[in-house]
Amino acid sequence: MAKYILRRLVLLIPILLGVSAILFTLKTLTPGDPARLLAGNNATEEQVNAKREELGLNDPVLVQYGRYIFNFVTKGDLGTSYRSGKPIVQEVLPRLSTSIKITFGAVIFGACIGVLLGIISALKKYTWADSLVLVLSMVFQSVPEFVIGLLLILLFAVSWHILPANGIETWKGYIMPMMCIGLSSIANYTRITRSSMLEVLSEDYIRTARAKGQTERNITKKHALRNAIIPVAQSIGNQIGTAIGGGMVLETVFGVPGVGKYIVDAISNRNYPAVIGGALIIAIMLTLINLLVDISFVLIDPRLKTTIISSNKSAPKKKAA
Amino acid sequence: MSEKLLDVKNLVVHYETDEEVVEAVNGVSFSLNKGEIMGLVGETGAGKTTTALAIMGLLPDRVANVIEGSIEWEGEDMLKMSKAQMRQVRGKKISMIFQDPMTALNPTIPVGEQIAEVVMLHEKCSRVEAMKRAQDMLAMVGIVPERYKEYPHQFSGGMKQRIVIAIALACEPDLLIADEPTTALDVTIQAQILDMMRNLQKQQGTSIILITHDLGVVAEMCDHCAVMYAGEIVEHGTVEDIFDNPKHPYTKALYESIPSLDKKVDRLHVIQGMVSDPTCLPTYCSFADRCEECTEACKQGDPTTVHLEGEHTVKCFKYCGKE
Repeated sequence: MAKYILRRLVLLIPILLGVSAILFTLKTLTPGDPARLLAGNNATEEQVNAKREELGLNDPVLVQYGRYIFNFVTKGDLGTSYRSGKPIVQEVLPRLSTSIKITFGAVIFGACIGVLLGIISALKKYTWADSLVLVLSMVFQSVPEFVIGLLLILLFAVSWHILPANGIETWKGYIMPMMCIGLSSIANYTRITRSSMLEVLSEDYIRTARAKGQTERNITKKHALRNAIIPVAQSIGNQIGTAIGGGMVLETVFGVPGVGKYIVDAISNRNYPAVIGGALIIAIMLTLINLLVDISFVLIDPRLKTTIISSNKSAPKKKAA
Repeated sequence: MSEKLLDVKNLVVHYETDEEVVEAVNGVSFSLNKGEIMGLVGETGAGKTTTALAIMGLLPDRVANVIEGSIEWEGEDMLKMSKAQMRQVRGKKISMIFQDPMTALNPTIPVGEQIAEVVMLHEKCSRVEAMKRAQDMLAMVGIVPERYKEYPHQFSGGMKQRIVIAIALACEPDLLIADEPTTALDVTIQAQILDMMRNLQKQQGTSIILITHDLGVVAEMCDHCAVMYAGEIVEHGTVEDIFDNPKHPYTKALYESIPSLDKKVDRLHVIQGMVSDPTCLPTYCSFADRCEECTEACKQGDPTTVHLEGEHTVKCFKYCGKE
């Protein structure tokens, strides 16, 4: 198991190299000159050039990239923000916890409702309840998140005055962004839960459970759900990525000071170190979360434990045989 | 003889979908006494498993319908029992061993708990007692009780089938329905499983319905044997009746298809044609189209079941009027 985790962590290196390379390429291709933006409109050509030299923008891209990687590996330094002059890591980390809270809240909210609806529609397949769930989840999936976000603000903040429209000064501020990101993922969980539940319910071991005289309720709870949840858990890993992507836009809609809003702001300011640093930190976080999700499968599906362990011990096992 | 345990009368089961009606079981009748082992043989699609599932009350909802007939358990019609009553019967009075041990166990629950589950459902006992009983059952089927907490994928096919048998026997049922219990296993393991079933039957006095398409298994294990064809029992009798004195042309043809050790033949005997399509069975004898002894009368109507000497019955025009 430890070896498996280590191997997964080593895989982080090529992932981060890839992500940073892509971001650096995009940065070079994007029009606009950060030095001119920083120096101001009245700056002379010389001043702009000096600024450019100061930021290291006159060096070839590969040299810039190499320096960036070197600083990150040796000092954990992701550069400094052009705007505030503070290290990116210092600026992003406090915002990261806000974004993580919202992302997790959204995933838990979406998964709970989605799984519940999926179970209902699987148990009541081909009835009106099944169709209603299908239609509802399709609506939430088809409407863009920011539209749902605006509708939620209209409803909860403007009409009913029960939730703040902007900011996260109190815990109430978290509710709408979580709901909004969560709602759009419901369809995904519902669909996966429904189909895997239907598949599991037709398995032989469900018939074995019935042959034992077990009640339908316990068959769903004890036998079916735990097996049906495996593909759902797998999709949670992917959904976290989508939730973070959706969060980028929604943090702006709801005025939440998270990484998403930070990056979006940085893009419009040509604050490249902030964009690249923010994206890299999100990439690290996503990879780690996915690792956690994968490890948690072992708890749900005992078969994976053997696969993971045996894949590490395959060599000595052969000797024993 | 001893008391009658199970009495199936004129059972008709159809599978109905939007497109077609599959006539899976067409008027099956048989009865079983305490402590007897009955073999139910026939080729794939003859309705053996459907009959078993009907007895267990486990036919798939919506699709399968019991059109008519009755299944009496100690005099009470199980088809008229409520769901709650049937749950009391299943696992406690009648248990079933399914064909494929690879998929019959829940992959995410330790095997011991799967045995303990049935004990806790039917015997009013604590979790600890159920666990103890489950460990005893594991030991009885020859698996060390220490493996209680292991998962199905950690066992081989034969061991899984023994666990399935342990589940089926945990509450000492009166009747065990074994649906091709050895089909998915290799020959050595087959013999072990059959030996074990026979020993258990002797110890606990369980009646067994053994569904198989292996006549060798029937000869070795059973007291009685029913031969099914296209959803009907075409011949029924003691194992001696069926093996030494087969009457129905289908049964005879089956024996001719068995390779012999002492005779050298180039080609084995083949029963010509295919099993009739169960979505449109003929109105006459369903075996007539493949029968070598087919006469005019066979294509006129459906033969009735004829009682020969003893318990031997056969459903064929050849024996009509010879009672």
